[in-house]
Formats: sequence, C-alpha cells, structure tokens
Amino acid sequence: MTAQKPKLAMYWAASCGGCEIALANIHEAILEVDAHFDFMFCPCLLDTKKKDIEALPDGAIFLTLFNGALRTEENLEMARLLRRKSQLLVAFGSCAATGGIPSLANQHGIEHVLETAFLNAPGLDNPERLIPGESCTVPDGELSLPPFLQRVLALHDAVAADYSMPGCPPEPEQILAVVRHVASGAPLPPTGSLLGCSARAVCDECPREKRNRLAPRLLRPFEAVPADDWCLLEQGFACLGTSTRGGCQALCPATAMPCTGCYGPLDRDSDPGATALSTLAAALDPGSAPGQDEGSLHAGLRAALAGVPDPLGTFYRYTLAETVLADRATEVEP
Amino acid sequence: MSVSAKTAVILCTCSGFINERIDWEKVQALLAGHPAKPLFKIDSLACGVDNLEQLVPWLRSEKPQRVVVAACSPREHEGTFRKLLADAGINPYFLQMVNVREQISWVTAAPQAATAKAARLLAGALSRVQRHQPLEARSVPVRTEVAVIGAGPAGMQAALTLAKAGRKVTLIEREPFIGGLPVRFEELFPNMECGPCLLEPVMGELLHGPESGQVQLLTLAEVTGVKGGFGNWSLTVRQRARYIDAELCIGCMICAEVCPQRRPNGWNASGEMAAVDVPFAGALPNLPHIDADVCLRLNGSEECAACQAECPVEGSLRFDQEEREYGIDAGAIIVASGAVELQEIPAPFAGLADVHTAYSFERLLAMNGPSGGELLGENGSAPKSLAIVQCAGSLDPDGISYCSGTCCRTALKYAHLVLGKAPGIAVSRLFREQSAPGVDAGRQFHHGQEGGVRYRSFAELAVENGPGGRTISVAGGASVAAEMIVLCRPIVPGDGTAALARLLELDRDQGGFIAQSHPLSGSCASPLKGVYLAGACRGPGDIREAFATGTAAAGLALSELVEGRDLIVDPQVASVEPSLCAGCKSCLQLCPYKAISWDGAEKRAAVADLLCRGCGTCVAACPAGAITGRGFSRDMLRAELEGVLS
Repeated sequence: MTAQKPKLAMYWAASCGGCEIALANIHEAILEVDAHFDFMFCPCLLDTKKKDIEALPDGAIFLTLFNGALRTEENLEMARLLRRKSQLLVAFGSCAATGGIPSLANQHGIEHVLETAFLNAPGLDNPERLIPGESCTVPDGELSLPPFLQRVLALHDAVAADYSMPGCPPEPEQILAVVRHVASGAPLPPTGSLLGCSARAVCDECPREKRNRLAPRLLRPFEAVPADDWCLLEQGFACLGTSTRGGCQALCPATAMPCTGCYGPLDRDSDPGATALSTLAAALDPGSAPGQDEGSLHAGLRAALAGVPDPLGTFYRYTLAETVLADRATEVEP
Repeated sequence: MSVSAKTAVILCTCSGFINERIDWEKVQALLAGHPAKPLFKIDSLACGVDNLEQLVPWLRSEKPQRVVVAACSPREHEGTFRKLLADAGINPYFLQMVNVREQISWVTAAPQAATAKAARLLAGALSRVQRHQPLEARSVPVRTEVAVIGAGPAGMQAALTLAKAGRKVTLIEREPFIGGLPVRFEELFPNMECGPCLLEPVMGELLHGPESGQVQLLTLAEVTGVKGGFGNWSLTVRQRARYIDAELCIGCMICAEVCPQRRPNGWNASGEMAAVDVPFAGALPNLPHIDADVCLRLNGSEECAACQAECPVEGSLRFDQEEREYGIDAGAIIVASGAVELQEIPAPFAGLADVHTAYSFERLLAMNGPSGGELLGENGSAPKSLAIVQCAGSLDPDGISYCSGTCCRTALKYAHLVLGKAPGIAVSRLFREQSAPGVDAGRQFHHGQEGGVRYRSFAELAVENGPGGRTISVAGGASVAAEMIVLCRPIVPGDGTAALARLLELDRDQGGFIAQSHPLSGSCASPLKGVYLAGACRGPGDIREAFATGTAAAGLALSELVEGRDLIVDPQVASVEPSLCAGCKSCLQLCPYKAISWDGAEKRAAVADLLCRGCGTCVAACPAGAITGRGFSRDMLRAELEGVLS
C-alpha cells in the first residue's frame, strides 16, 4: 500500500529546523500529507538513513523539500544525492532558495567564522581555545567532520532545483496549498517558478495605509513606537516590504514588526540588497539640495541612514549568496 | 526569446574617421558566429542624404527584422536612422545604435583594441535588438490656450505675444490693476523713460487692442488649484469681488471723492485712499475697487450709499458681488508672478524719519504718488541731502547672500532724478559692491560715481545727528550728509511665490525663486513640461529682462503647443505592469514630472505617457520590478550586457 504512494522527502542542510516546524504547523493537515504521500525521509522526524536513500533507484522520490543552505561538503553531497533520487527538487525556505542567514558568513573567510563561533563570541567558555578540526583522534579511533565549503551556496548554485519556495520559514498555509496542489495531480507550473508566494510585494497584503509622506530619517526599532495603521516605512522604520515578495499575508508589518525580507526579492534580474537599499533611500526626505555643500549633503545622508547600523545584514539578510557582491573578497577582516 | 531575427548591421566609416581605428572587415569576421547571423554593410557616411537614399532600397530588398547602426552618438542621428527604418517599412524602434565614433574611435588609440571593443559593443547591440518591441508613437490633441499668472511686464508681454499669434490667453493677476511694479515707477533706468508711458501701449493693447478679444483678464484673482499636465492643464482660479460692475463703470472716480471712509494706501507705501478707490491715477483697468473691511456698507456698520448716490451710471456699484471661481483649461502655464523688494527697515534706520525703501522712494518720486512727484520730507520741505544705501541687507552671508543686481541701476537713477527735483541736493551712495554693466548704463555713471562710499558690513553703518544735520557714518571711515535716506533692500520672491510653487509642484532655488529647468540654457522653462517662467519669479531682474523673458516664455509655449499639430507622445516611456504592482507608492514621490498617478480603488500606480519623459527614475526605483522603461527593459539591458561579455 505504502509503495503505491509517491515518496516525499524533506532534508535539512545548513538550517535551523524552522522549516520542519513550519511543516508541523500545518497541524492535523499533516494527515493529508500522509494520505497522499509516503513521507519517507526527514532526519528531523524519521529514522531513515543516508544509505537507505542511496539504495533507492534514481528518481524514486517524487518530491523533495530541501531546506537549508550549503555550508559543508556533507550538505553538498546530500544535495547531489537527493537531486539524483528526486523527480522534483524544491529549494524550500530562504536558506535553500537564496542562501538565507547562513550565507551572511560569506562576508568573512572560514577562519574568521570559526574564530568568532568558538573563540570570540560573548559568553563562550573555551579556555583551551579549541576549534573543531576536520579530523580528530580519540581513543576509539579517528573522528571526522565534513569540511566547510569556501562559500555558503544556495541550493541551485550546486544542483538544478525545479522550484523555489521562499520564506523564513514558508508559511504553513502556503506549504499546505503546495502539497495539496501536487497531490491533486493538477499541472505543475513551469520549472524555475516560485511556489507558495505572491507575484506582488508584501505591501499588497499589508493593512497599513500609505500617507504619501517621506520620512526624515530611518529609525531603529527602539527609537519610537510605530503608529497604528500607518506604513512603517513612511514612519522611518527600515521595513523591506516594498521590495519583498508577498505571500506571507504581511504577518510582520501587520503586527508592527518591519519586514526583514524573508520571502526574497521581487525582481529576479536585479541585485536583491541593492533593490532594498534603493527603496529605502526613495522613502527618505532628501531635504532641499540647492544651497547645501557636498559635505553637509553627505552628513545629512549619513544621519538619515544611521537607523540601519548593519546595512549588509539588513539588505541581504536572506540573499547574500545571490548577490554580485558575494565573490568580491574571500577574506575581509574588520 | 528569439535570437534569430534577421538583423542588418550598417557599419559607418564617418568619411574615414571611424575606420582609422576600427577595422570593419575584422569586426565582421569576429561576429560571423553570432547567433543573430548579422548581415553587414559598410557605408562611408550613413547619415548622408544620398547614402540614406541608397540604404532604403537595400533594406527593402533584404527585409531585415532588426537593424543595428554602428556610427555616432544616438543623440546625433538616432532620429535619422529611425526615419530610415520607417522609410524602409520597418518599425523605427527595431533600431539599436552603437556609438563607435565617440566611444571608440575618438578615445581608443590602438586599432587592435578599438576593433575588439567595436566587436564587443556590436555583440551587445545584436543581442539587445532581438528583444526590442515594435513601439508606436501616439499622437493626442493638445490645448493651445495658455494661462499666464501675473500681469506685470513679463506676463503682459507673454500674453500679448501669444494673443498676436492667435492664442487664447487667460491672464491672472492678484492685484486690482495690471502693470506690475514698473507701472508705478516714474522713470526707468537708463534712459529715464516714463514707466507708465512705456507700459501704457502694452496695457492698452491687452485691454482694447485688436487681439484683446483673445485675452481674458482676471484681476483680483489667484490660482488655487492645478491639475493635469503638458497640453492639458486645468486651473482653478478664485477671483475676489471688486464690488464694481466692470461693464458699466466708466472710471470717473466720483465714488472715491465722496466716500467717507479711508484706508492706508499700501501701493503708495504712504498716504491714504478711499474705501472705494484706485491706488493711483492711471491704474488699469480703469476701475475702482472696494475694500469690504473698510466700506461702511460692506462691513455692516451702516447703510452708507454716498458713492451710489453720486455715481453717474446706475448699477456700477455692486455690493452684492461675490467671490467667483473659474475653471481654466490651458495647454501651458506661464508663471510671471514677479518679485518684491523687502520692505522692512532694519536697524539702525528703523523708526527714523525720512527713511525710504527703494519702492517707497520710487512712489515718492512718481507724479501719481503720495506727494504728486515732489521730493518732500516729512516736514514738508525738500531735503538738502540724500544718502542712498545700496546692498542694504544683500551680500550678507547671514541673511540675503546674493546681489539683487538691480539697485546700482536704481541708485544711479535716483541720483539723476533728485538733482532735477531738488537742484543742489547733495547725493551720496554707499555700497558694498557696485556693478551696472551694459553699454547704455554707462550714461548714468556721471552721477556721483566718484563720490561713492564703500562699506563692508551693514553693522558698520551708524546714523548720527550733529550740528550740521543727520549723517550716516561708516565705522572708521567716511561720513555723509543724510537728511533723507533710501535703503535699497534685497529683491525677494513675492509672498505668493511659495504657495504658487507648491501648487504647481515646482521647486524653488536657494533664494526662494522658482527654479529654472537650467540656469543658463533653460532659464524661461521650469523642469515641469508645459510650465514656463517669465520675469522676476525666476530671480531678481529689471523691466528689460521682464519683457525679454516674457517673449521667450511665450515663444516656448508657441513652439511646443502648435495649433493643429498633435502632441507626439514618445513611446519610450515607463509603464506599470499592474499584476506586479503592490501599491507601495515608492515611485509616486520620485517622478520629477508628476507623471505617475494613483488608482485609489485598485491601489496601483499608473504612468501617464503624455507626461512621462522616459527618464527611468521610477524604473530603477520600483522595488518590485513592476515598472518597465519601454525601449530600456531589464531583459534588453541584460541581453546587451551578456552580449558584450560573451
């Protein structure tokens, strides 16, 4: 009986586990998943092993939801394996789709990342200054860890992904809609399409109203309590809703949390962070330029943008693997 | 996207300039494998009339679907080659030009590098042109009427010039009379012509000349709303009540003589006038107006009918008149709202007797002014000395930093005029800088030119009363007799300028004047298409500039809005794809031409192609990529880049 149902797999590479929780958040509808699919691989929930997957014929898995970015050789190996074994491979969630939070590490070299994580992060207790190595000898023998890739990659940077489903995490309603669509046997959208999201920006779903005002400067969230019903961006908060794909029902801005851009950029032809930055710039009142010297113009702009202390982490929070900036420097030390 | 459309490539040598550096044969060889399979033709001078004539049949016989021309800047000949395509029956927007002259042969010295560069740029153009869309220029009828705001010399000249060309003009003036400032000036620099006499024929023509039927004059009127754009503006104009029937009144002013009420005459900067009156003799249109706050009948104090009783034409006085609102449709707007002299008297002169601004002194000298043109002090006698303080508040880094450029002329004029009115009067001029350029200005340099006193800052000036009379002294320097004092104050925007600029969505410059599209080459146009500028709303100027710029602004309106010639709307404009627009409104505030409108019901932006100038600001700013620049779409630019890098 089980063998009749199409096989469904979910894998996590460099990820936080939130995507699995999002799947679990479809609640009792998980039974529908079970009714339609043979949910046979998900390291977070099931005990299937890699060797079980290797034993399958190529293309044996109908649908694989692959979440997480590619940080290690192991991530890459699993991506290649699952690509081979799956008919449909979906880059599930921001990390798989565009690199996500893990790809922010691409700002720095591997050494810097390891030192930060194991030596310099606040609250660490590592008196022997140990950093995990790729191999380590213990009384029982040799232990090994998969090496890091030079850069964190999105899934499609390494293997051909059929679809992407953005979100950090993808919203449960959208996951269910996609699962139901696939289960129904309805025609699938063209390869390369984005699933479970809108063609329009978050603003389209946001209940806050635009009042056609330019903000004097950008505000950090602690600097003011946002007014109800009024566009956060116009109030000066660095909300990326204008340049972010909708489909989330504007959950964050609706509850006064500026959009951080997890559904990714709308314009797939342009650099995601640059688009977000230019939108924010367009929302600020430049003041009257005539009569101001260059120095005061620059000072004014710097003051206006001071509300974004971490531009790269703000504008490329989920997309640094996708930017043209990514390959500029392999090692940037502060 | 197809990359196989048959593409003709015309390689121009520009009479040998281009092929000095670029080897066109080699370029052809390098591009032989391009998927577009280009069909090459080397032309010695493709823009030449004979060459174009030969290119038409070639294109007609080869029937390419796309054309690339490698020649000079598209700024120079894109129009020429678009026309070539149209003549050959090909959509003109299937053209892509490659500027190999300015961008390669003029700047890349090594022939090998120049040839390689040409091949790369051509590869880009070949890839790009495959993605071109057939675009059609649209034509729409335009309104040819013009609204002129301000009836000073600049506005009147613009209105008259347009009327003479057969245009209908609405001339909107805030004051009860026309003529602006110089109509109140007795004589004008440098030839001492009488201001009212100079303007009389112009005003006469406007009001009664053969073209006066073309001009609708609205006095006591202000623009309160502006909608639309180039070729199709719609203005709301509010006209205050004059309480006079303009058709019946004969302008005898008996009403003013019998009126029991008085009000200060602000137009004369001194003296009084009746509640129903004209501010000065000769004001046109020759009609009094009533100040409703002062008139006993209108302010409700009593049922006064003094004027009505004496008026020779029954019905001329109309106490029932009300404010009116007009809707004015026009293809273009000329702003000629003028400027004013700052009238406040600063320390150390504030509160002193016989201290004038240039304007109040101008009225003192005028025959129709408060003293009938006699140079009289407050004690009723002529002063024995006059000190003219120029730059009084100008060139001040903490205040008005600029030079108004008019008061040297004014001061020289006063020096000349007062000598005629009070022979023997001692005239001194104090200034920080002086300049009165121009061939004819030199005629007035004999008046006290050598006796000028330079001061460095206004704070250096002190007024002292000594045994010899009042003097102005410069700290640590000269002292001049100053029984009467004229301060030539800075020329600043009129008090309605800011509101008018807001209404028309025009920027203002550092001094608050209306910003010009370019200070040198576009000084009579605003950046907003269909709004032109004349006179001192653009910055301080004199009557000569007012007339010149009035003519210029009218010329711009005439050249852009031609009767019977529809407006050709360039199809290379921005357009919004509604299915991608999320209504974030990012574009609305950015468009410099106010071409983007908002559909409140659908919550989508839309670009009016009539107003869009294809600058691409919104295309770049649209965070959703929902706005496309037609002719410059993202996929075209990407294809061009990929072609260059291939």
